[in-house]
Amino acid sequence: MPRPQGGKGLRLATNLISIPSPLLSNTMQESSVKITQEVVNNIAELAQLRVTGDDLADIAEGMKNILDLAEQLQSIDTSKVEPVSNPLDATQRLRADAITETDQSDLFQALAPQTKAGLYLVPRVLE
Amino acid sequence: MLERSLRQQIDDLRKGEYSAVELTTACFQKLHQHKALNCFITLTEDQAMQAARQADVQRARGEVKPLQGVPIAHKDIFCTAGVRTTAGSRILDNFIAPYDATVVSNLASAGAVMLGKTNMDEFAMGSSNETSYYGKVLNPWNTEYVPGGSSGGSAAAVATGLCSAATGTDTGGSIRQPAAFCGITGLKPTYGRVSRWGMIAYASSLDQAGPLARSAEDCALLLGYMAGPDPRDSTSAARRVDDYMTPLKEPIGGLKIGLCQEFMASLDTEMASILSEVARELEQQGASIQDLSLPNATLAIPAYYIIAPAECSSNLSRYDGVRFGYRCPDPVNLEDLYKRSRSEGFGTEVKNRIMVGTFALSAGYYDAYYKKAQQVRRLIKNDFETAFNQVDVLLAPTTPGTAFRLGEKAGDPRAMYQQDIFTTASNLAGLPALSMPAGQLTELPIGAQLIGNYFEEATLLRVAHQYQQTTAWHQARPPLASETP
Repeated sequence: MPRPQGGKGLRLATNLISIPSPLLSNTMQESSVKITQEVVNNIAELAQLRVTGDDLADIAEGMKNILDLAEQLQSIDTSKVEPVSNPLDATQRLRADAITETDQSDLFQALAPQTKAGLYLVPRVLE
Repeated sequence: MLERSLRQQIDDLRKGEYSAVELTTACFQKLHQHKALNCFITLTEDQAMQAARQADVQRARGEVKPLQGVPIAHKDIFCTAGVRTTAGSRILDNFIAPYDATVVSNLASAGAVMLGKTNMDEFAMGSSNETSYYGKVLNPWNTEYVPGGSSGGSAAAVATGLCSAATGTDTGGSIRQPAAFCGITGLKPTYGRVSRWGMIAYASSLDQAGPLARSAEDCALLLGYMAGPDPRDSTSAARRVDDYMTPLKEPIGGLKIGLCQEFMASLDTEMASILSEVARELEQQGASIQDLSLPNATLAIPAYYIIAPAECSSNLSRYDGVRFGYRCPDPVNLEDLYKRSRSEGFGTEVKNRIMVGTFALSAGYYDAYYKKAQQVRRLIKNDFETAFNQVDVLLAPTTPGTAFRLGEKAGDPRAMYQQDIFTTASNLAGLPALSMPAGQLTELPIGAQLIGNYFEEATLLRVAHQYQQTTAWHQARPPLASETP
């Protein structure tokens, strides 16, 4: 069974955003992670999605559908198995440190919902 | 002209049987006639007619490119400069890419004319084409059935004869499954054989573009111009593109073909009998058939449904309503802007996968889910490596059965995910795989799948081409395709 490891908050491993989670104090039993309202809300926060009351049950069900499938993986012994990161086991190819692109910022900014003087506009962050 | 294959159309144009303008006009006539199939999200009629006129003028001057004046369609996942690219999503409803994907520019350089952008499951997440923001695509064999997905618009368009070939992408079966459901041939090349640059990302370690056409020969022809190293995609393979056309003619005598027992065991009698018939045919042509085992093949679905959502959650984080794409009306603050733009812009299936992927990558669960899935992926990859020490090609079903009814599995995601049971393993391993028409059940097509070793596209295409020399399943067309307006 997958057992939460380390830490006191549920956080995105890649960028270490910490948010509190009641999940980690739970010991998981049965065949799958319990997708509680808290789990959905925490994950929605990490994913920057708004989950309203009406969607919550549907989203939880949708997650459960996939995570239940994944439970089959847990019984497989992978203790000495190297994870695949590239299907061809290729390593990142380096390229010459040379300028290959021209400045096309006007072209790219033309796609933006709102820009001003070369800047992307968003609602005021600081009052 | 529309019943002619891609290769035949190239010959016809060269001989002056008809012009590129005539051919393109005929495509659009038929396309409008079959608008109800909903194969296209965007039509580029003006540009196509202009490109066709230019192709004819160039030909008259003696400038002839290999695909000069042949109309094809692109899945709406490939960026096209100046033409809207939606990936089937509301969040990209207003997105006009400032550049062409490498696949698009490669085919344009070879002289192909783009008819438009084909419908697809939202962000290529689906096996029925029902998750598109632009509505479902209908299967031309029976319009109450799904065409398969996610490249369902491309597959339905080619099967109906709206064009002789189209591009698609395949992350877990999205070229092969719709090809099987629509009775055409489709190839997912080796990971890295075709550049992903300008192809909207779903799961970057699995995504691969490939051709859909009515024969293996046409797939070979199109792949030759799609494939190649691309300095703009660091995961594209830095190796020369093989000649896919010449080896097609070689007989398959002496070739060793393996039948995966784990896949065969899960088939019902009718499907198993169709696969055995394919095996017999190949055997008659001189190939030897042997049973073999891919012990971890049944783990492909669970591994795929962790890895693909994980990569999707990362890739789709770029849609934030700031730089391009949909922005929600009147955001009260930045967080509201992000969350509402994403929640209003993405459909349910996409949100489910983002949520699962975010979960699988979150600390505390990363090792148990994502890392575990990538380790199981290694076991699956190793199984294939062992198999290809014994055989040249694997023969497998493409799908568990025929196309299903529209709406039949839409409310049952678990059943929908099982559609990919025979296709995801080759994406996880990065191997090339092809689906070819191999039979019919209840007047709906069935596909057989050939999986090859790395960069053995030429072998797969050759086996399929040789099979298509002595069988006629690939020539069967939906009755609707021959209707005249």
